[in-house]
Amino acid sequence: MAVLGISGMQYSGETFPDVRIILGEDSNVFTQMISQRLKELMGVDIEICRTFEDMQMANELNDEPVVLAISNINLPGAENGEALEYMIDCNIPTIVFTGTFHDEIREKLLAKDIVDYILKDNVFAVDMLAESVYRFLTNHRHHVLIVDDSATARALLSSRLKRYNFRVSLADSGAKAIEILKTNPDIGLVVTDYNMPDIDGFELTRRIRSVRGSHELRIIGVSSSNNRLLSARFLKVGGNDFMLRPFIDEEFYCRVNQNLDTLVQIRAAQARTK
Amino acid sequence: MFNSFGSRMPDHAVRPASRNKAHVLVIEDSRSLSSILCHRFENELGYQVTHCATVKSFEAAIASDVFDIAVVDLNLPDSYDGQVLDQVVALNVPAVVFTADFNRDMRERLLERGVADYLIKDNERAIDMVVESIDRILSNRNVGVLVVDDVASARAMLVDLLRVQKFQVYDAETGAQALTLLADNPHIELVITDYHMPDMNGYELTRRIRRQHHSDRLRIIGISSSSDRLLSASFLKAGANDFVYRPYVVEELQCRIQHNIETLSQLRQLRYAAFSDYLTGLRNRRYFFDEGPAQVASIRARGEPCSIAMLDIDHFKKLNDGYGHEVGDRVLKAVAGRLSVMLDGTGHMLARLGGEEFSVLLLGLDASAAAAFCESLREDIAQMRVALDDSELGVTVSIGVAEIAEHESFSNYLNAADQLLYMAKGLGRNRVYSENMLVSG
Repeated sequence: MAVLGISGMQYSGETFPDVRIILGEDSNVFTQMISQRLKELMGVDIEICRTFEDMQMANELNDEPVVLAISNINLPGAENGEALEYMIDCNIPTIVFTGTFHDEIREKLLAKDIVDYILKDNVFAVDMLAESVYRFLTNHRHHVLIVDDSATARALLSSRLKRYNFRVSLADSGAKAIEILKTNPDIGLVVTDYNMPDIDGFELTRRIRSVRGSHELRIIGVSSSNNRLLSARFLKVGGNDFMLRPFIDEEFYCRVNQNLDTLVQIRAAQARTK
Repeated sequence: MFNSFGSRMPDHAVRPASRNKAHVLVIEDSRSLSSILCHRFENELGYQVTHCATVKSFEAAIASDVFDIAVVDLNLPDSYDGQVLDQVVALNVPAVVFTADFNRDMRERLLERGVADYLIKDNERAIDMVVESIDRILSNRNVGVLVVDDVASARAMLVDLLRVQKFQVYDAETGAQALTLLADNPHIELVITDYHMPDMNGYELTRRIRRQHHSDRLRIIGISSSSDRLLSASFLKAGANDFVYRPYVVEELQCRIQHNIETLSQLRQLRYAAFSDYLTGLRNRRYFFDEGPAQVASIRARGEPCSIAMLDIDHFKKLNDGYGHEVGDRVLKAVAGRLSVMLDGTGHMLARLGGEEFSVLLLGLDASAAAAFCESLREDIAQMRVALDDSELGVTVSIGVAEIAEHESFSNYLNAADQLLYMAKGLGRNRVYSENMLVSG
């Protein structure tokens, strides 16, 4: 049966027995809690690596690729974050599970292209980690459309969303966006820039909303404008969320998740009426 | 500058004529716009509508009627510069301004006067948006919102902003107070919480709330004047649905609040659709089986007794064959109506399981207390008369009652009650049969 996690994410009850996830962690308490939770919630059998060496072996001595790594920043044999660097170098998506945290480490972590990071500082830590894992495993079910006339901005958003394992489509204009939406009814989220030459984000939202409600498609506006009334105007015409640039990665991911969670909750409720 | 809302919009400002049939005042001099608006209010939303195109007719209208909400055009032939808006605001009637010209000065003035919403006549969806806005504000009257902030002035600003939107507003100074208010007021659907508070911060409060209330029933918006840009992400990660930095733009916060309330309302409608019985409006079998086991588990965990009753209308098939299905349906509705009146406020869980069969989960009652309660249901229904075209009809019911003592599957409990119902029928109907009678008899 479907259950809601603390952040509002829905566990569908589906299991992932064949997915290889490795956990780099030397604390017994955490390895036990994490393997138990992941087994319970999504049927995943994680492979525990207590040292950097274990981790390298798990990756190199098995032909089956590692889908996701969960790793502490430091492990025995890798006291300066080498384990994390190793994962990134091997192109393995990684969620960092750490006790220490300050701005400097955060900057370093984010620069490394990780999927997410979870702090061990509270009783919800393991649950939050489980949700993060589940999101990564199921995000590819969500199809996200990015609309921006700037190629750089498109590439930036797209690389972030792909890192989280979403399916991504790109449009360089409002007109193109409408065309893509018509042919891809499975798109559940549109992330649109405001300033665009043909149809601006405001007008695009209005047009989308005349055919599709927010119970079937979510829209997040982004803009580097400094007009603070823009957000209200955008939300009034039917946008679900709005972010001013430059925004921080974590907030962007949270807001994307938040909107998709709502969509999943509505779809689940709709399915129950059938 | 928005602190002045409070004095303009006191709590008793809401004077709903009736929850179902709201009275809307449309102040608009354009004939085409007003006729579309009136038509949509009357036919789509079932509101009572009064239209006035001049200040003169407005004054006549307010002399004789009380309004729940008004759509206000700022310029009328005999009123310039929004005098009519001042009059509406002075009456404490929530105002939705619908205007062709709009600029920043006007925005400031509208916000200062405490209008509930404003919409600009600049696009083809404008009328839809007015209709949606009115509908939204009227339904806000049934929604509880809790504001948590330790700073009185900051709290007051938020409370004012919510009152203008006609919510039922609660406020708390501390996280602990907030948790108590939430426990006591289950109709609170949204919590807006500050970050910095002495006893527990908003982040901690969010996490505690989320242990008990999931985001499909309760939404949380974090708010803070902190300059820590990571705060928003941590709030969202902890289970908040949105986060806003101070100073906020009033309209933006209003929109974010409304979006969350609308999401909950959509989810609720879907839940009801899935869980109600189309004929009687009672909860259906699906709900009973979905919700029942958890209710039983939680009451058993507290060590309290619990019983289950199966209720069946006597000779229903004969009645259906003799009088026709339409009368049969009428009887079903009448019995359902009586049962829900009798059970209202008791906390027991009633559902129509199908056909002429109902079930009640009697929380906190052991077999003998449950049997006594069911006896009162039986008597009440036996005295009820169902009106036919030119006569009346009496109906009786038989009830089987079983106490839930052992840990078994939920359907086993129902089977036990069903067996006892069968015995009640065998003993001549119009009676309650419980397992206690089984032992002594």
